[in-house]
Amino acid sequence: MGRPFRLRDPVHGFIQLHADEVKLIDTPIFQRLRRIRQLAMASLVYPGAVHTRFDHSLGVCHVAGMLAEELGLDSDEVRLVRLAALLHDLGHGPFSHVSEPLLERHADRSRLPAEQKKEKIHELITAHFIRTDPALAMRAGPARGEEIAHLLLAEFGQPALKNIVSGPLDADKQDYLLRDSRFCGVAYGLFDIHQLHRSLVLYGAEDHQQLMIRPDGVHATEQYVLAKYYLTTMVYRHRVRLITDQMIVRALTLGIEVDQIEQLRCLYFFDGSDEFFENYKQWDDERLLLACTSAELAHTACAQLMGRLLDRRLLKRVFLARIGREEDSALREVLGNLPKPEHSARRSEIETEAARLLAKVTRQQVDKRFVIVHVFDIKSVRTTSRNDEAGILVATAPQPRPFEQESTLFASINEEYDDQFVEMYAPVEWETHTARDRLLETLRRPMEELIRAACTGVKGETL
Amino acid sequence: MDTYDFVHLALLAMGSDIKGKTKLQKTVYFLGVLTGMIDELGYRPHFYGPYSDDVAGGIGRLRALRFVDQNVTGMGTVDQSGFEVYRYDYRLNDDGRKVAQQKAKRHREAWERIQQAAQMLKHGGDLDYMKLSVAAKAFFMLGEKKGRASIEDLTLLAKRFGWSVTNDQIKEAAGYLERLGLVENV
Repeated sequence: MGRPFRLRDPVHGFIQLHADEVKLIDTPIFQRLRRIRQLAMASLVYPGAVHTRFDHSLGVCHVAGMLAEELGLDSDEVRLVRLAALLHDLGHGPFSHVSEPLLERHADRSRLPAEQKKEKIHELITAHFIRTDPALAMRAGPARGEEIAHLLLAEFGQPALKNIVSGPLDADKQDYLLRDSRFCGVAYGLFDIHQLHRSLVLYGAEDHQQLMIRPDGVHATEQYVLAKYYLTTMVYRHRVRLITDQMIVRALTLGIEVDQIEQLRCLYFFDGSDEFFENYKQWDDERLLLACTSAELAHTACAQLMGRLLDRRLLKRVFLARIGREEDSALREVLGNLPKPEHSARRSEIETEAARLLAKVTRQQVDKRFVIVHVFDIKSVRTTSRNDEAGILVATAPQPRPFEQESTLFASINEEYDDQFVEMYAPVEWETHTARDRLLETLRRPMEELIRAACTGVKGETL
Repeated sequence: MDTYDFVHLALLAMGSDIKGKTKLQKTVYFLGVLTGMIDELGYRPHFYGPYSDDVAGGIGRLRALRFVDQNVTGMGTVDQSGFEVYRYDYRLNDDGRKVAQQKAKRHREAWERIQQAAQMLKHGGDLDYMKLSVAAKAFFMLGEKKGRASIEDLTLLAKRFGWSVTNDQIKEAAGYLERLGLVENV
């Protein structure tokens, strides 16, 4: 192994990289991550949020190594975990997570082996690049590549190593909370990472150990879980951020389905072929923005909506309602499931009718293709603490117990809260906040009625 | 049919309260296995056995839409097993049942399969969440072993998933799986 390489990271200070890691970083496939922003267009809300998957990947590598050493893993395990952490985001498409719904929607999974049919497409892409990218393979070696891909994708393997790269306490979350906070200029996602690491322990029989919290480490974990909750509430689910994400998805959907832009079809129609992967790795945020707003596509809906993002002429939220408050159970059922493909005609009808209403009320031209109905849910902080991967465990005797029961803070939080919201975004303008409030109040009732009519076929009173 | 709809119909088919998150997860797991729809439900190995975030999300949405009532029962501060001190019970309310019945009509074929599976599960015996959890672990591992394994094999394999189960527990689980018609003693 050659001399370690040190670089300054705005979040963790000096990060030390090993020579074999630097070799992987200096490959075109990894350098592409410099051109994919971590939070898509969140910089339209938080101007500092221009950090990339590249910075984040280096940070995750550093955090994973730090944690693996703290847990006493042997040097080969530490190296493997660091490499997996370094490469974990290799398959991200332009605008990071915003690309995912498009990849999922248009993927042809028929050519995939049975065990991969349920995997997320961007994770399959990551594993494919790790296994087959010539520059990576040459520098990491095929055996190492397979080990890394296996650790990132497969359900088998040493749980302890897997838990560090993927799970409710993984290095990925630890880095992105701190990094996103730093670059957004907010303090919501801060927690004491060193204390958290001291609070973690490997529990279980040799070779089958799992990452858990020490019984006396619950408070450090509370801070980490709250950091995730606050950052989710204040940044990831910021009103304008939801709008920009929805605008990107709509622009690309229009580009594929209405404008029939061949480049977008090639980018998002995953079929597992070599041609797909070769093309995919050429794309990043900048190239996608330029492609979508090029002069020859200026007439397309995709270009017009992307142009709005470039100029920060954002759609406005013109309607918001809590679905759980609706009395009619059938309407609640339809609204709560509106994002499903089977309701696409209903969504389209709502958007068309809303555009008509908005044009009438505001006397502005409202393109119905740019009216977006969006449903999202909000969970209690207790539910959020379990994350997506089934929860954090505390290494209590005789058996581990869920964190949210061991923490006096979380145990006392009511889990009843679980809610869904429906919002509508549209290309309208207002001069002042007073004018906005007046308009939203005028729209509330007729919006409720048109949503009810589209969902149930019956005109109703309230939503 | 997606996981949300499956969970909704599973609650309708089971009829009464499902007592505890673990029991809910494992009940839906076995309904998935018995209907042949398990691959659609997103189960993965977890410390407490096969767990699906999609199923947890489905319950969350049913609660958000006020179709499921959740009752939290304090079980005392110390549980000898160190497992689930609070219990979360789930029950479809009137609105939830009404919407589920409409859904059952729309998905007639799937509903019939879920109903049959629920009957088999009820006939298999009312296992507590711990035993149901071991049974789910055992069946999940049999899948990994391509359907044929000894009790000792499964106890050993459990360690690979970080699961701590004894031969006796696996033996009891095997009896349950046999009653469900999912395994046979050879």
